[in-house]
Amino acid sequence: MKRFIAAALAIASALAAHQAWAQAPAVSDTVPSAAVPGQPTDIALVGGNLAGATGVWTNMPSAAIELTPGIEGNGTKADTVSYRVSLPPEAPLGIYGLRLATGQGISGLRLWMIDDLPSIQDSGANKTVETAQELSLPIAVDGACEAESYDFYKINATAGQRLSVEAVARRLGSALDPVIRLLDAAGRELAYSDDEAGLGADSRFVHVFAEGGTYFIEIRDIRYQGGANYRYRLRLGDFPLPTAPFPMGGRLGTSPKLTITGPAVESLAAITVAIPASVPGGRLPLAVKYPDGQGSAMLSLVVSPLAEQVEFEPNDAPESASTIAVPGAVNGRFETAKDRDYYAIQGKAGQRFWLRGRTRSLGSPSDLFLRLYKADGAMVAEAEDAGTDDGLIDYTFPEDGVYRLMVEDLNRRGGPEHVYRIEAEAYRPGFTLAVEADKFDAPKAGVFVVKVTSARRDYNGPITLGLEGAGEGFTLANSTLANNVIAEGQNEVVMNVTLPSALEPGQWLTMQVVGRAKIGEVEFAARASTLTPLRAAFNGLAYPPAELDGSIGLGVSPVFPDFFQLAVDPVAFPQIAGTATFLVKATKLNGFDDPIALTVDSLPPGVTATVAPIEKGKAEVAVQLTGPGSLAEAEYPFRVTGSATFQNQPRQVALPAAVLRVVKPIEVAVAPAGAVARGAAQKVKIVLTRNPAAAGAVTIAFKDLPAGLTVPAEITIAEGQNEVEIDLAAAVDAAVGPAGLTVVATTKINDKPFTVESPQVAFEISMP
Amino acid sequence: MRLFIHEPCRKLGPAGRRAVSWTLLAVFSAAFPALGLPAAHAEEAQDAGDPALEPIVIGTPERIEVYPTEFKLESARARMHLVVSGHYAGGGVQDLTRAAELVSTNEAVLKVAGGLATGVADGSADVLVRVGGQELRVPVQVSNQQVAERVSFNYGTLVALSKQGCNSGACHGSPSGKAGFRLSLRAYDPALDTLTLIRESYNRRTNSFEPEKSLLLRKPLMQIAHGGGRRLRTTDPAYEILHDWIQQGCQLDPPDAPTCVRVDVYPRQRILHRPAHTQQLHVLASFSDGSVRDITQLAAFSSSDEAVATVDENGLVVGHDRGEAAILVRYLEKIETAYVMFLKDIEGFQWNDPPENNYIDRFVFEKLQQLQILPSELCSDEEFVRRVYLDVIGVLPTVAEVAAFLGDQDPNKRAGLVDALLERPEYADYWTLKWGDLLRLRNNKVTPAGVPKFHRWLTTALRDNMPYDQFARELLTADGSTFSNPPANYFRTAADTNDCTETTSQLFLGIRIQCAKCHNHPFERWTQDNYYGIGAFFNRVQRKASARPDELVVYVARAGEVTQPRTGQQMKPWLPLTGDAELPGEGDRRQVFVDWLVQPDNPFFAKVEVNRIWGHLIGRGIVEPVDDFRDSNPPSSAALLDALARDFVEHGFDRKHVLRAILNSRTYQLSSRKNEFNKNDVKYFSHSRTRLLSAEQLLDAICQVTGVPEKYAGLPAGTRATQLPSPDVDNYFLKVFGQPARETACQCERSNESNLSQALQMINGPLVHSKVRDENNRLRQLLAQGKTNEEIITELYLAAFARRPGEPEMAAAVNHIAASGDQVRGLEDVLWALLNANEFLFQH
Repeated sequence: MKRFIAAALAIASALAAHQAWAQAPAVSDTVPSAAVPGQPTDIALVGGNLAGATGVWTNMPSAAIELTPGIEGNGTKADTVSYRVSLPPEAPLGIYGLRLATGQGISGLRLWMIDDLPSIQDSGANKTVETAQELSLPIAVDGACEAESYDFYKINATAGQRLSVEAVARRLGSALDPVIRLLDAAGRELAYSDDEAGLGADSRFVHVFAEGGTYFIEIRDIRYQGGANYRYRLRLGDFPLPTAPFPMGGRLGTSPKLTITGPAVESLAAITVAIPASVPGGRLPLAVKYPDGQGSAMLSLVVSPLAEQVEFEPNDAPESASTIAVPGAVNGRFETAKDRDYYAIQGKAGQRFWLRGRTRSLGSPSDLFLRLYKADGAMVAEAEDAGTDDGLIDYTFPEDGVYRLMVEDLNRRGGPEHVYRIEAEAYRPGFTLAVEADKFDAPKAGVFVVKVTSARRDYNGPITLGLEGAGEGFTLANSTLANNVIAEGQNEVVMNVTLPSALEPGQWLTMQVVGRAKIGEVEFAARASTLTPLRAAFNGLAYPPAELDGSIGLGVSPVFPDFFQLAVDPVAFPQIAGTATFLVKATKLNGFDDPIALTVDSLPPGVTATVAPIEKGKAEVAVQLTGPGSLAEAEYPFRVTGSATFQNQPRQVALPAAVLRVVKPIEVAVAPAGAVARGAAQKVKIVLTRNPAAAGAVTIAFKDLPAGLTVPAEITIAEGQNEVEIDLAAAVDAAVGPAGLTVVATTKINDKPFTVESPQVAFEISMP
Repeated sequence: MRLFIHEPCRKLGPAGRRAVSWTLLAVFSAAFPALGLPAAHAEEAQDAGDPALEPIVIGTPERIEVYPTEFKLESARARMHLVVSGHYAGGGVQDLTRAAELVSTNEAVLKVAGGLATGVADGSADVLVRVGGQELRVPVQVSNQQVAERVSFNYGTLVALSKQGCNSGACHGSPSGKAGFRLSLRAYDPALDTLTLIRESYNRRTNSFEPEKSLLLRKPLMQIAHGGGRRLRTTDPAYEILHDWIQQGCQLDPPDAPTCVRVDVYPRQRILHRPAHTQQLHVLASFSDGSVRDITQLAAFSSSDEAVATVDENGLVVGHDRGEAAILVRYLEKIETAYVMFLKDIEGFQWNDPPENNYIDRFVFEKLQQLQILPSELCSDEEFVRRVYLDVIGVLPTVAEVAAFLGDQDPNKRAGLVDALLERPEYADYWTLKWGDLLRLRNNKVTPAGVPKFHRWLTTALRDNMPYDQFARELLTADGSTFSNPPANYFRTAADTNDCTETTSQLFLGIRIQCAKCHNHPFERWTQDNYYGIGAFFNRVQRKASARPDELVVYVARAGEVTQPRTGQQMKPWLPLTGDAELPGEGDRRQVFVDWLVQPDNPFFAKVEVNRIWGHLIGRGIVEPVDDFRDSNPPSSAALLDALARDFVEHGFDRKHVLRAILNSRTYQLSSRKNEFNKNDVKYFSHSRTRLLSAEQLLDAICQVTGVPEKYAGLPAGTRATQLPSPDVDNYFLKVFGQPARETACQCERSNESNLSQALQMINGPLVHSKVRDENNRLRQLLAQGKTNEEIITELYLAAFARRPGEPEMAAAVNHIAASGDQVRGLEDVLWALLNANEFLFQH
């Protein structure tokens, strides 16, 4: 077991490493896997990223949960955290969900139990009969199977002792497909269980020992697979093995009397259950116990607003059909093999009804086959279950009259535990919704993204989505929902939810996605199902606890860090030309490399920008500016804004004070090499400073050239060139002394002449 | 592949290496000469046989018998063959037809020639039969000789085409026909034949104005080129039928035309003692209007064993060797069988009257005595203990178990061991392996999660000795989840109605009915209607997915019928040899099928299973192949098969009871060493049959002898090959030695053929090498215990052969170890040689 805890930690760490920021907690195991009602139970949550735990969410009724005191560093370790769970004595046995929150987010749903059996861990060294772990009954062992191996437990029993053994594995979301065997000391098999009816992959049996002595319990995976995720809770004691209560359902606010069905429910008296007016998930957990038994058994009751009926035998023939009211629910039982039950329904022309079977989803082994007949005996509809569906007849009565519903097991099986339930409800147009994840982690004031899909029934209009039921003490009221409407005719939307800033890191909540629409005059609402992600998380568990369906966890992590920065150099915008190009440079951080969308605004009047994003894998992009050529020379501030999303978190980075500098298209300067003597010549360099808009040929002329000095008649700086060197000649009689040189450069920009004058340069005419 | 070069051999070089290895092998094999591979193969050979059609030695019959004793010729086309038999002192009988003189007492009414009587004019006459000094008269009534008779399309034309082989699978009866002319295979589809004979090719095939110019005649006569060669002569009865049918305008039979309801062959059974060696058969067809016709010349004949007897186109059976043959007589879809046994005196043969342990020996020895085959001696205790362990639980006895058995002085110790083995858990493991083959347990059929569940169900059923009728019922009527009710996987592997029909027929009826899916079975009585009639029991079986991945739910739909694809007819459920079943309503028809199947008098069910068990224990079924029951493949001892099946039924389909009966019989316990009088016997169980261990047996045996277990991926350490739930462990050694892929329900998929790869695996393969060289193997453990070479060699012999080494063997081994200069390497050589000895590789 300890080895598996270490492995689970490694797995959790690896998973967490996938996300750079959301180091959300991952719980891979709970040790023990059950809390005991009526007393505090310290439960270690094992996994990764558990440091800084801020709380545990569970749907265990009236559970008080606190960090276990007295453990050094509890709550600060990444691999484990211990919580003390205190439950009232009447807390019913069952399987519940938990999530752990930290300052980094919230964990996915994990299943654990309320169990009145004391817990023990497997030793990890019990792989053979010889090394079997000895147990004192009653007990529940939390263990995990290794691949290609077995776990053995040794017990001592007395003659006549009754022992119930139950492997709870797949029901807890484990990957284990458990097989359990009871062996005597000589290795002879006394009991075997695999895939017990109504339990899916899980196993259980009851055995009465003919002789006292030492016995062994073997548990393994049917395929000899194993690992950290192949956990089990092996319950041993004297408790019933029920399948379902009968009737299987009760009406809200009533107190029905129930009998318990199942392969081992002897001496169990009927129980009366007070059903509250409201029950989350429509399932009420129940526990039953032998009067002098050791340990309880768990089962649950469907509760709904429907009126409840129980079949009235004999109803094995159309003539003796039990009359049932619709809408309503009827609970029946296939008493024996080939039993067939008939129900009479008064149909009215035009009424459309759903007749929905319920068996396997409620723990009954029956596989329903339904047929609906008209009064004359003609069959008008039939249905059988398929996949996780227990069978549905959707029928519109064509005329008034008595219709008969025939119900039987598809394979004509029967027996006390073959109970069933038929719910008859008026058909309503509407839709069902589903989300693809059952938990989200969002940074403070950040965003999480929910994909919602719909399946419509005779309604094609828009569906408005909202988040509801955020849990006690929390609210999402100020959150921003973007794309929260599934448009008419569409069946999918990706909704962006921005958290209200009041939610701080470490806070957590649970919520539901609810879709609403007005269909005709009726306000219709449906909660989005999370069964798909739950089944994936629970290793294909066909029927996760119904009360967990739709529950979405949300954890708040720290503010999402920057993931890119922008920079822009001052931009020269030449007059006349009216165009300029500049680079926006990005520094991408923390592994971010997605495109960055850019906007450029607050430009001088008339100037516009052509902007493209900085693409994935690039660090800059050129922006083209276009505007009037008449802007006055000056510096104009403008704004560049970049937008990107990383791990669903949007980010905008703005440069509010980028500089647009309006300049001349060209500048010219003259630079003589030195003084010129009378009768000699000197080199003079004329240098242009061009803007890209002024690339053409430039003619140069000297302005106010002092007497006695001569320069070439035509001076041109060719297209693309930026300087020219000329000879400046001084006549023999030129006036000696200081002088000034000024040149005028003339070019064409956009076919318009442009002239610019150089600053005057001091110059000396000297004696030879 | 990495080659195993044994260390001492490496020192010797290639030539020396071979010398050492083969020397050792020769020594070990010489100790058990009957086990040599060549010998095992040689026993498949038969005597060349005597030349056929020797003159009949008439001798002095006490009386003669003519069949039929009287008859009528009621049309101008009527014929009647006569079969003359001579009965001799001592009970012998001989066919004298060829030797008899047959004369008509009134040739104006009746003509007799070549044993064939034909009418001339209406009236009465006798056929006077004289042979061996005996004389008999056969009264004959001749009528309607002047009445023109229409040739029946169904019972004339199509029969003639079948007789000449025109519509055989190799000719125009192939699915695409030949040379543009297609006939239905052996005339199973008259509607198709009507089209192709009359309508196609612009009537060129048949020319009613000039019948002789019809292609249908000219081609088989080779008057024009015919790819099939000459298939017809104008003297053949078929020519006359085809010619006349064409001449009469190619008429089809009217709807109310009589149909053939039965075919009878005479004699049904006959035992001929050489010099008697031929037998003329006589075949009558009975029609729905009460008429009876001699169809000997039109029926098709074939022999089940041409080494024993051949049969010509006129129904003359010629014996060639001692033994039995079934002569199959086919007349369209009607099939009958004549069983002929040929005996001859073997010089020096004297029945030694071996003791009989139980009824099995009585039936086996009775036949052996009749065929003058002398059974081998009883096998030794050493041979028995090894044989019975391998056959019952699939593994070798341990050294301690061998020692305990050999040291046991109880005269009933063999029976005691049988009882003990049948209660061992390995028994269920091993027989589950066999049923796993047949039920196609592997991941791609049953899914990885389904395999262990189905395997467990099988193991439990065999462990608890579930009665076989219940076993069949649980499989064939299974429904619900394939996970929670594993026998429902039967309908997962048999994934549609056709597969159900074929699998069920082969497993539980021993009928390979696959051919009849597309056409009437070409060699058997099963028709296309029969195929879909059986299918009607399974057609309502449906399969659907469930909420659990890979789980399938099997259920029976409330309605659904099978349509025969050729005729479009909706088929009623049909039971072999019983007929159509009226099953109205929504009930599970499979229950009716199984009710019929497990009836004590079902002619198939019990026989198939006891034959399967017999075949496993003896190495050859009474019917062989064990799941191929048909008229043309008769049991080698029908009486024995009947007795076993009866015993099985009377003991509540208790498989362990049958196993116990066979294992305790002297027949099972006979030595594999042959004698002069049984050396050629391959099917009458006069000696134990040597055969290569199965792949799983062999691998487990290697592991056990070397003391080094094999590890299979995904299964716990210690799992034996015979415990593998499926072949998905992907073990190369097992595949090489014939482990089936479990793709079909046929036992034939498990190969028992030897091949070069097997030899390489044993000689140089990594598996044997690694176990021989393993640091913790048996011989090293023995060395660590301080055992001497002699003690180690003795234990290795006991482990591998369940016997102690003989003096030459011990000497050879000790000398080799000494010569090798390295004790460990020398012992490895000995161990390696033992593993490669025939005595180890073979069950004997």
